[in-house]
Amino acid sequence: MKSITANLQLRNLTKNYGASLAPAVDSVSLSIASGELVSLLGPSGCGKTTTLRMIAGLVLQDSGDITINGESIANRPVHERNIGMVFQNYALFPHMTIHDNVAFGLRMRSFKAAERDRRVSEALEIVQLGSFAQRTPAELSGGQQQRVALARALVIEPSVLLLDEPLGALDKNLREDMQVELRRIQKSLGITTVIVTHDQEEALTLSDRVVVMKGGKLEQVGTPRDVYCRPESRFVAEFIGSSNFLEGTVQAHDNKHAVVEAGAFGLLKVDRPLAEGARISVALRPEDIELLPLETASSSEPYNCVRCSISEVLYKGFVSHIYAKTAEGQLIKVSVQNKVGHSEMTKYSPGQTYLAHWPIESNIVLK
Amino acid sequence: MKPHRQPLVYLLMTLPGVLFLLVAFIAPVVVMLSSSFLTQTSQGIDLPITFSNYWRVIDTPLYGHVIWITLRISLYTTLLALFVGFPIAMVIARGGPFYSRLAIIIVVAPLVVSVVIRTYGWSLLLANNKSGVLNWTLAHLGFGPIATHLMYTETAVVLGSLHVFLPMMVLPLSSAIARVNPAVEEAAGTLGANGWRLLWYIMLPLCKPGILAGASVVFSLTAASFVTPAILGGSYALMLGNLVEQQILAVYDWPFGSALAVVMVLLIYGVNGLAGWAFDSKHLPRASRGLALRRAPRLRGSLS
Ligand SMILES: Nc1ncnc2c1ncn2[C@@H]1O[C@H](COP(=O)(O)OP(=O)(O)OP(=O)(O)O)[C@@H](O)[C@H]1O
Ligand SMILES: [Mg+2]
Repeated sequence: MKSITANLQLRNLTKNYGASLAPAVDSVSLSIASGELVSLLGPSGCGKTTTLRMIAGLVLQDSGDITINGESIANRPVHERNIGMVFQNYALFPHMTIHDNVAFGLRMRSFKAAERDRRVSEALEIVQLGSFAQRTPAELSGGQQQRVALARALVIEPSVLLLDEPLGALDKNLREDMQVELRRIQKSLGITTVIVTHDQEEALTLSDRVVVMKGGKLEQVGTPRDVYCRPESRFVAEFIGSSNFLEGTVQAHDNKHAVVEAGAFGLLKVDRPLAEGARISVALRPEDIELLPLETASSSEPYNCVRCSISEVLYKGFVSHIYAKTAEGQLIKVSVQNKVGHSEMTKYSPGQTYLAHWPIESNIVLK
Repeated sequence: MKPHRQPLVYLLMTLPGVLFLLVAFIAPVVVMLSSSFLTQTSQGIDLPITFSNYWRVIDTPLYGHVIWITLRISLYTTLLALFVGFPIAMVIARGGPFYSRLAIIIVVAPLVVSVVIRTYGWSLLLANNKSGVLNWTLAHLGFGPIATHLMYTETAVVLGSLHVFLPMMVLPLSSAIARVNPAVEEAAGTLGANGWRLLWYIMLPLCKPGILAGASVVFSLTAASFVTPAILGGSYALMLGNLVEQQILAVYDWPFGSALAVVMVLLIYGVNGLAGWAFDSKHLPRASRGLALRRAPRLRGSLS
C-alpha cells in the first residue's frame, strides 16, 4: 500500500442543522499536515462528528471550504472524495465475506480481480487478519471487526483517513492494544489522519496534535503536551485531566515573575510577568501538589502553599485522589502516586492536616 | 428477561387461533382435495375415485393457456410492484417524519375502499370508449378519438392488481430497509459507490428477505385473485380464479372446479418454493453468486 502526501485544510467550516439552533460547527479553520494524526476531542455534542462527516462529504457544509493539497473537495459527492472512513460501529457489510468487504472499494474502482485480491491480502496482513478472509463479519469479535473496517478504509489508498470513535465499543485493554496498532499502521503508511474521540487519554496517546472543541468552535489546538501542560482556558484545563482553579489579583511583578494574591490560597508566584491589578485565574494540576507534614514544612514558605485538612481519600490503584479543605473551606484536589510496598493509603487519612505546596511552574495562568 | 411460561399456557393462548384455522382453512382444503378426485353426477359428488379431472386440466389447451396467463399477470404485477414499491418504501424508511408519514398514508389509504369499488374505478378510467377517463383525456390532448383499448386486457388486470396489492410489497420492503444500518450505506459511499451501485451491491442484497416476502405475497394474491380479472379482464384475460368460479357456480362441476383450485394452489406454492430456492445462494458456487443472490444478513453482529 502506498501513502499519498495529502495536507488537509478546513477554512471557516460552518454547519447549522436548523435556523433556530446554535451552529453545530462554527467557523472551524484547521490545517493538517501530510502524515499528521490529529484528534478532535471535546464533550458530547461539540461538533466533532459533524466536522468529520463534512470532511467525508456525508454532511454538506453551510459555508467554508475543505481542501486537500490545495484543491477544494467541499462540493464533491462522497463517492468522489477518495476518503477512508472508519465508523463507530464499523459498518461492515454483513452480507459479504471479510475479503469482499475489503475488496469493495477496489471493485468500485474497477480493479482487475488479480490485483484486487493481491491488495486485499496485503491489507488484511497489515491488520493481521490474513486467515479470516472467508469469514463473515458476524463471525468476528469486535476488535477484529474494527481491524477489518480499518483495512477496508486503507486498501483504497485514501488521501485522508477519518475515524469516528473507532475504539469506543472496545473494552479497555483491547482499546489500548488497538491504539498502539493504529498508531503503528498510521505511522508506517504516513497517512493523514483525523480521529474523533471523547476519550482524552486516547487523544493524548495517539495524536501528533489535539484539537479541543467546545460548542462547535476550536478551543485549543496543540501537541498533547501543550494541551495538557499549557491549557489556555479553564475549559481545556478541566476537560483534559483535572485541575484546581485559583482566582486572584496580580499584586506585583518583575520581568520574569508575578505575585498573585489568591484569597484562601495565600500568595501565588507565577513564572510570567503580568500587569498589576489584573484579575487572573490559575489552573493547578492535582498531581503537582505535594502534601508536606506540618512539622517538617519550613513555615517560612511565602508562596504557593496552603494549609489544609484531608476530608476524603479515594484509592484508585496506582494513584489516590485526596480531597482536602483549606481553613476557609475551599476544596483542593491532590493526587499522590501509590507504590506497592509503602502504603500511602495508611499515610493519608481524613482529618489529618498538611501543608499543600507546589512549584512555581505548576501555576498555569489561564486566559 | 424473557417471561417464563409453561407450555400449557402457550397452548391455551394459541388455541383460539388454531381452532379458527382448522375450521376455516384445513377443513375446506380437505373437502376440496377429496372432491377433486371424485365425479360429479346428477345426484351430487360421488365415487369412483379418479384422476380424470386432472387429466382434463392437462389435456385441454384452454386451461394451459389460462395457467400461462395467470402466471404472466402475477409475474408482471410482482415485478411492477417491486419497481414502484421500492422507492416508496425507501421514502417511508428513510424520508424523515413528514414524508414518511405522507407516503404511508398514500399507500395504505386505498385499503379502506373495497377492492370491488376500486376495480370499478379502474374500469371507468380505462373504458374502451370515448367517455373512458384516459381516452377522454388523450382525446383532448389530441391523440385521436379513442386512443387506447386497455379495458379487457392483461394490462388492465396488471394495473388493477398492482393498485390492490402494492401495500403488500411496500410494507415488508420498508421494514427491511429500515433495518439496514445507515452507516453501512455511508461506508459504501465513502468507498466509492454512487447511488446505483449502492442500490445494487448494498441495499438490494440486504433487503432480500423483505423483497422475497413482499414478492411472495403479491404473487400469491395476484395469482389467486378473482374480482380484478373478472371486472378488468373479462373473457380476454381469464385467470384461474375465474375458471374455478365458472366451474363451481355456473357449470356446477364441483370436482373439476376443485381440481382447478388444487392446481392453482400447487402452482403458487411451486413458484414460491422455486423463488426461495433460486435466491438462496448456498447451493451456488461462490463466483456465480449474483448481487441479489447474496446471503441474507445475520441478526447478530455488526449491524447493531
Ligand atoms: N442530523 C442532525 N440533525 C440535527 N442536529 C444534529 C444532527 N447531527 C448532529 N446534530 C447536532 O449538532 C451538534 C453537534 O453534533 P455532533 O454529532 O457533531 O457532536 P459530537 O461532538 O460528535 O458529539 P458526541 O461526542 O456525542 O458524538 C449537536 O448539538 C447535535 O445535537
Ligand atoms: Mg460523535
